[in-house]
Amino acid sequence: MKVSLSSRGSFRFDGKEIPFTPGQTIMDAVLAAGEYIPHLCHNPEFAPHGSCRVCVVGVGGRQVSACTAPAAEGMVVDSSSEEIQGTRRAILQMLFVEGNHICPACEKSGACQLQAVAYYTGMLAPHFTHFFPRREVDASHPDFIIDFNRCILCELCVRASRDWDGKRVFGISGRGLASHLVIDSPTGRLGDSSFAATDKAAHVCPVGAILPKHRGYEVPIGERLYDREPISLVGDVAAHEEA
Amino acid sequence: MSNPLETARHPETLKRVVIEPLTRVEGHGKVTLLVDEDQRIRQARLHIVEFRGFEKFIQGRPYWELPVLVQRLCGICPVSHHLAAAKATDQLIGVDELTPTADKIRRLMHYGQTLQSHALHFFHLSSPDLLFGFDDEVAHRNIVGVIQDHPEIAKQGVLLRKYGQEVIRVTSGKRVHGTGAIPGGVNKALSEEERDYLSKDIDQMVEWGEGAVQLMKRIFLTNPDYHYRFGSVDANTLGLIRPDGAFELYHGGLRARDPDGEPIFDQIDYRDYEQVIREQVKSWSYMKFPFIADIGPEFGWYRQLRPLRHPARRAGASGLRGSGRGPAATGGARHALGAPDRAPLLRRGDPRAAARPGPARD
Repeated sequence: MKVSLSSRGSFRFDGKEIPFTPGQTIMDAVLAAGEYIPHLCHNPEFAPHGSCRVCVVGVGGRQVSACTAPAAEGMVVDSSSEEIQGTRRAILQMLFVEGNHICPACEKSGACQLQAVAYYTGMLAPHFTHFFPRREVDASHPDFIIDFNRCILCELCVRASRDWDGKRVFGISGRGLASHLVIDSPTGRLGDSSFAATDKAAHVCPVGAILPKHRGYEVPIGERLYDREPISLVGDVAAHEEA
Repeated sequence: MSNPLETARHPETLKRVVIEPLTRVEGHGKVTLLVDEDQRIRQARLHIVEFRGFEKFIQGRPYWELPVLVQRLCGICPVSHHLAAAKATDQLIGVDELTPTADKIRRLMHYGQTLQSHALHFFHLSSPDLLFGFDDEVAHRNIVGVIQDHPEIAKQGVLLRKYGQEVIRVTSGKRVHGTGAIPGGVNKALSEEERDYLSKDIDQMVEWGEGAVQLMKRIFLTNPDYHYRFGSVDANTLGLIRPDGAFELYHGGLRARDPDGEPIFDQIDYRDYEQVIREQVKSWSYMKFPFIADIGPEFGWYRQLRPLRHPARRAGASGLRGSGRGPAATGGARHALGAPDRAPLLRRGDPRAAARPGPARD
């Protein structure tokens, strides 16, 4: 079958030929081809957000976010050079020190995308000075807790609640360093909102911020998602049962 | 504390001697001595130098995190803290009886820790003093010296410790700081493969453990008069016991006896500990100073019979004699022989001997 150039093309991704169709982003095409670009705020089920910048790739001497940059014929995409991995590491290190990400005690450890992506990029230490913000845990909901200490502001819960559940339970308030997740309820607490365990928003958090109750540490160490396979092979936690 | 050396009257006139780090302990500590012009010790303090703060910073956290959080108190005895928190959260969710499997897995985890800790204490920390004597050269009187001169003993110590760590790994997921116990039970059982892996070496481990007891006995009997007196301090004792009064490490009642072995209390539900135990704090140590409430802070301090050996921890409840085989064997033998449960640190007559250890730290 003859394929016209306008409907189909390809680009080079770390030396590999990746096909794409017009309208696909670099991320779309790479994931569809079974390859991996690290990401946190991206989830194929939702419109690209481009905010976490962990999916940064090099194209023609510039750095772009793969989840928002359209794929183009003949482009050469660098996703594995030390420069690109170093940029990702620095972004991750800032994410780690901005919140309170205490992996050793976190029940999401082993199934946490932030942790898994940090491993993927070779991050060994936080490097920057910890902010140690003081944030509360919201345990007011009967089925879920929110630990704001671990929120990375990816807005996946915001998008899921708004675009999928039609509820708008979550939003981001404040600007810059003061940005924080807020809950739409009279008290600002999850238990007083319309949030339900069956909501899509309950199952998209890439980190340990939105967690089901009654199941903490249910999966033994060694059997968790990213204990078994690296994230570059198994992808997002939201695509698995441990979300 | 009843020690007259705790606080000197005129410390400004005395010379300060600091012993730091402390060796032969699992953890960190510091001893300061104030010495007068005649080289007589006027003040002796054992400082536990680490501030922990867990009581405060666990507040506001989800309760199911507690077993995982509080085990970070220690890298040698995390299982004790892990299980203590798990038992507390069992109560929180209304579980008063575990499944038999969960009970066995938790106990196995604990025994694994007891084994590795005793191996560490006896072989790595104490055996250089025991085998070479206190007058041996410092550069030689350590585990490296034991490896050179007694490679078989050193090997047994290393492998016993490894075995204990492997028991912990199999039951909790990691050799240190796993997540085995959860509120109401455990999150994994032993697979047949894991069971066989541990069973494979158990006879060898028991044999080596019993060999260590015999070694201790031989060393002790080379100079029994001296060893019976060595480091001996009259003290109340506190321990955990089974319904029949036998020694227990995981779950049971509290028993306390006075220095003559007379009962102070017996079969107290550990959940009511605050009825019989009080705690003091001192400005110069982060260690707490618990004491038996009825006797008071001055004379109510006690040794604990526990699975581990922290700085200043001196075990010795009375129910241990003849504990025989198993993880407690080395500590048991030490006690059964009347020996100090802590290996010799100081000679009688050594001025440092006045630095009388306080009650157990947790």
